[in-house]
Amino acid sequence: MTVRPTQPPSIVRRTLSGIALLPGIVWLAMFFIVPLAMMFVVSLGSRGPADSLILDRPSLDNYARALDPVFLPTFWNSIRYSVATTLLCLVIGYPIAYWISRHGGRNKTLLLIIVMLPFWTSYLIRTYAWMTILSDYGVVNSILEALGLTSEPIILLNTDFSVILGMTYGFLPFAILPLYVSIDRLDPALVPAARDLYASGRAAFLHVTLPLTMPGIIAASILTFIPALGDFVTPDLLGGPESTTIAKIIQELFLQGRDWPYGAALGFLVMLVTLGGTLLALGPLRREVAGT
Amino acid sequence: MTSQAAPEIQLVDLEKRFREVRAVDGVSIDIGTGEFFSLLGPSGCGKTTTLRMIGGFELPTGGTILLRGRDITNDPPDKRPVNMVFQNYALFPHLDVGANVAFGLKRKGVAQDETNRRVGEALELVHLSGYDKRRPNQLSGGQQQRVALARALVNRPNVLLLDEPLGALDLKLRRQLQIELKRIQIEVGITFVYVTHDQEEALAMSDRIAVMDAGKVEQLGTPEQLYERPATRFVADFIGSTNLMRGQVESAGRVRLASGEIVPVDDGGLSIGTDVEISVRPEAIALVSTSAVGAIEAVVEQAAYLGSTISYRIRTAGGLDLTVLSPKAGIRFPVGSDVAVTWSPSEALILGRGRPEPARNLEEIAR
Amino acid sequence: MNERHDGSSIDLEKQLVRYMIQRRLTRRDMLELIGKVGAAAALAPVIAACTSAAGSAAPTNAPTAGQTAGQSPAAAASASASAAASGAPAATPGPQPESELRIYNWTEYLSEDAIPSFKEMINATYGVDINVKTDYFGNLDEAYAKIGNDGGGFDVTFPTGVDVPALLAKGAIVELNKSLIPNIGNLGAEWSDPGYDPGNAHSVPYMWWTTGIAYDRDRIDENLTSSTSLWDPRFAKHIGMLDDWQEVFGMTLIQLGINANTTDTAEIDQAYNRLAEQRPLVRVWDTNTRRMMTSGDVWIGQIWGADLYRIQKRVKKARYYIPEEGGVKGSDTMVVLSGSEHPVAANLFINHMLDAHVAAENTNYIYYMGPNAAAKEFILPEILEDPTLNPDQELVARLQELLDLGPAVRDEYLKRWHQLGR
Repeated sequence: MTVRPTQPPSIVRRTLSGIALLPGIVWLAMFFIVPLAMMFVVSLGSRGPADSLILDRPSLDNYARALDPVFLPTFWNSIRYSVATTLLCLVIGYPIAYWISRHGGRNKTLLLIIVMLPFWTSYLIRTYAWMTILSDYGVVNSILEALGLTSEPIILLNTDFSVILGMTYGFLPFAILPLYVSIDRLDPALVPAARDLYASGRAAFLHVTLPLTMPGIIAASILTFIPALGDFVTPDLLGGPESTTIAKIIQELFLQGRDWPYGAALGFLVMLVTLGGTLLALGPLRREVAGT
Repeated sequence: MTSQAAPEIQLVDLEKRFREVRAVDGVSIDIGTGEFFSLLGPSGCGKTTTLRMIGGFELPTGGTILLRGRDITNDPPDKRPVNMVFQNYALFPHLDVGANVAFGLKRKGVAQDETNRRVGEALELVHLSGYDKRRPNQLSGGQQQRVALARALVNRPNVLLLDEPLGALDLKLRRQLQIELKRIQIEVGITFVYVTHDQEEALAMSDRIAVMDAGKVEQLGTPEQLYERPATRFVADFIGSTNLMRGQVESAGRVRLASGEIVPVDDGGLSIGTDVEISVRPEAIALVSTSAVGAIEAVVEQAAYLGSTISYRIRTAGGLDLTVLSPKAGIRFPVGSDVAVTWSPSEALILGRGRPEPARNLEEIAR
Repeated sequence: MNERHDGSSIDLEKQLVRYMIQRRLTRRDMLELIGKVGAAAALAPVIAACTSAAGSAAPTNAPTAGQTAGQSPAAAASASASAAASGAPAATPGPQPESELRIYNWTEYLSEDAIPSFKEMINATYGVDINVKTDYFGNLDEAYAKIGNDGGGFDVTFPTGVDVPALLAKGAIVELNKSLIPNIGNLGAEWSDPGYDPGNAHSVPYMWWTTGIAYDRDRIDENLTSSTSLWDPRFAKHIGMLDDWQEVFGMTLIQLGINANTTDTAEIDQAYNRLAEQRPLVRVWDTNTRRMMTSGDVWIGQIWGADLYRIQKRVKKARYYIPEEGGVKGSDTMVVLSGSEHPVAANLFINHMLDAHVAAENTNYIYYMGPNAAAKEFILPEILEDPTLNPDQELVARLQELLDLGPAVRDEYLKRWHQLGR
């Protein structure tokens, strides 16, 4: 079957599709572009007496201040938490998505709903639940002690471990769904074909399944990494003093420092880094999609 | 057909059970080296499952599979010197044609230049030289099928398995590729195990065919044997078209049909009064003048011009419906006209006297 | 009481409240009493007090200071509030309060009686049926954001004392109308004329607290007295600090013998270094002190004194102390917002809160000490005698209040605070 080139869509059709896009564009404009623009304008201002906002002398000073190396450790915190969370979500989410796709059978939808179920409870409540589970006298330590494995509580809460655990748990559904979509679309005959061609199970995964589910992996990574970078609730509640993230700093600059321009500039910088990383990741994604 | 000591493939009492259902129920077949062997039957008969077990994609629940005498029953697919052409080709969409074909060689660690050479050869074999940089989604169905073939053959397997490879193609292309496949098989000289539900296809290409139904082999034989001497009603009905009639043995070589007519049969030494079912191919029935002795009288109900032949549907006074195939050079009988038909006794086979033992060894077949 | 008003049932309620305060009874005690001896018997003395003409003289609640000549609506207002059944008709008071009052407050920060008694008082004195609406906030950031520069539609709110200058500079609050707040004289001397609001021109303190240290006696079986206990390596990873840079730096500076409000960066650095030593020992920074202290993960933590009683519900052996090096005190104040459309009612409300009985009732309910000297007579002894809630006067005088240090100095602290973060 040769692919015949399609005719360019008619004017009517293009107008109609344009109109269909309108609500989405308006939404994006109002709730994304406008606030972003406002934030940018604020970042060019300065803090006046009594913590007021002065906007009539715009400058990039706040950006220079925001590049202060004192923020590097906390920024690094944010990055390493997000990266760890993303990697864990991929490593845990991929097998789950794979299993549901291949072995879910009639229950596929039900299983996906179960995966999504925690979403329907408040993120905050789930984080509180982790505090109860990981505390020195919480569920885990109580069980360990009851089993005689420990004589004293192990410090699990307020550590890097608890932060990453809480974040991974929270973002796992974000990762599982795009992975599932990508895996489910895979032609089930491809892996047997690879096996037939002398590929071991592992080689088949590496050479066939993995490259073909890469779009899903990239989507899952982006969907996990970006919110994780901005999550300050989880590190705040589940972390200790060393768990301060850049998001928390920005919050403090706004609320305790009452220096909105500074906070806005720092926020913008973080966003630029995030955006840059995303665009970098989208490059290969776009190529993948175009290639298939 | 070579008569070798050890057959290329031996299936011994192969069984595949899913819960209570026996998809493959005690199948025993020997396939010779260089043979074009087909598994033929309707959907659900177990032919694909049998093929997949040979390939290693299903684990038998009973029985053994031997490859040149070696037990490969439980070997994973990547450990069998057997390759498969899948029904929907299963070409890797993220690799170009060349990389697809080279896939198996790469996995076996074949050196780059030798890989390139063999890939070139394989593509030439299937008449797709120069296509190596194309992507699967840029190819037509026929081309994809040929790439799948090249991808399998390049590995020089002992056996090539083909799972209804021409199913997705239109008639003309299918005919073309049937010829191609046969040519390639002869040229390369390896054993082909071919699964299809299309009996014409099987008859055209195969050295031998195993006709399967409900997990069992109904009959195994050459195309001519299956066509001329179907052992069971199922085989008679499945291969080609036929007229099936029931009746009782009246006397030696004669059967009285349920509809009353007395017809000649290929005598099988049956006692008078035995219930039989007989099969007569449409082209074996001759239309004669009504005055002929011993002929059965009937009326033409339908007449269809098929190009090379004319197909008549006739009905006897007793209500028996028969299909008759006549060469177009000859008298044409219009609808409604009175006719008489007859056939030679050897053309009327008596069916269903139990399934004959499927011919296991090749010497039997050669007889 | 004004004859315009059928005061019988309300009269009884007033007497009941007064009776309970005088007898140091909590509501729970009263209900128990009624349960035991029956309502009639329990309430008999109350009814008796009600019917006796002029009753027992209401203890000092008539303000002496700040009383303006002539018509003293405040005097009449508080006279009615005290439920003294003097038949003397009060003179019609000055400006009429508006018909509505909008309050913006912490949750659970007024006694159940505060607003009802205010409404009655207004009704009795001015014949106005005032509609009081309260909105609540959970933290100051949220509150100040909502208040903005003009009060966000509210009339009265309860900012921290430290924040009053900032609010004033923003133009969010206005000067109080002292003529409507004669009860201001009830304030204790140590609370009048605070550093952040000289002369109480714009604010009146409502409740005050101390910041100190709580620890679980079950886990730390010692008598701790110093803030250096928060640096004790024996308690490593079981130490909690407030997630509030000013409180944390404040305690540290005081420990080092430096003024908690220092602007000297060298001194701030000293505090930073001290805190950097502490960092590896700290389990968590949290302003939710109840959560911090009740999970068992933290054995000793920096908390606000008034939170102790909630902590003690879970940690039975929790103890609180103010460091011997000195500590921090703070207060919540009442202010009138600049955008207020009901200034008279607002000021009258503030005055009402300063009434000795009302103030005492508030304290008894929320378990914070008030700055109201006159109210002390009516405060439950368990509060008065609790050194956590009501420390020694001399100690209180030594405590420092955390002030708004201005953006430049604040930045210096915050920079080091952020550095502590990782």
